[in-house]
Amino acid sequence: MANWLEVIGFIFSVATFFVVLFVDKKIVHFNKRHLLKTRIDEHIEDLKQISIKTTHLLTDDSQRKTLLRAEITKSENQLKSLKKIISGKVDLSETKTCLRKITKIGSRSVNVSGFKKIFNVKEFDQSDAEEFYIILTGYITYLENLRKDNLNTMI
Amino acid sequence: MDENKVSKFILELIKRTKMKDVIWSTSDRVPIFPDGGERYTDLVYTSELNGKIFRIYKYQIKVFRDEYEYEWSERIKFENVDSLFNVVYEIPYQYSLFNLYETVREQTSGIEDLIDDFLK
Repeated sequence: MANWLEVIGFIFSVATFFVVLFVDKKIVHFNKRHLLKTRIDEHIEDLKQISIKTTHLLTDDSQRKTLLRAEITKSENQLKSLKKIISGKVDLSETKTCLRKITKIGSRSVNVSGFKKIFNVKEFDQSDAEEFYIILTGYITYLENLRKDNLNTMI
Repeated sequence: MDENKVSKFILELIKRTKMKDVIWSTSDRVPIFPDGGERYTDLVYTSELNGKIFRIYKYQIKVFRDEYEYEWSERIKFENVDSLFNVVYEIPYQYSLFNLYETVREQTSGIEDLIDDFLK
């Protein structure tokens, strides 16, 4: 009789071990998913702030170019960080395209003089700032939809 | 409609609203949402552009996690309406509508003029 009870007890122990292992895995998975959502939300919020600042700068002439360039650099950093976070979880093509376009706009010189003028280098102007704003807000819309669509399935 | 064209239109509207070329006012014609999937949350603003009435307002939409669980997500609607406030055309949603809404709110509140007067 005692031997039988030992065997049953052993089976229960093994079963409990696997259940705990399974629950633990689920908790780790949940934590990862929560962390990812939180970080994406933070990035979306930061990008929204950049877009708000850009709308102010588009109608304000004082120090506009330099400040706009600063906002472009900030958005570039946000996008690079976001790309790392979502890499492997969602399609990166939209993020890569957006980053490439923003980097291109950000690389334009604020003051074109000397050699740059001779070689006809394009100066950063109002149309670049507007283009940046449209790309940025378009990307925020994409992120909002991505977040909504992947509310449960991300990771 | 071409998304890029809409983006340019919204951006131009933000700029003109900031420069007070386009004037907005609050409206008491609150939009009606027949089912429970959406709810209106904030002030409604209207303006006339090239003889057409445009209305902008904030609302919330249910985003479902599963069959029963959901969260409210904030959105903006920007519509062309007729004189009876029937929707003629709804401009497709994009995030820059939030910036337009905040610019309109800032303009109609008159907060900038108040601060300028106060600081004189």
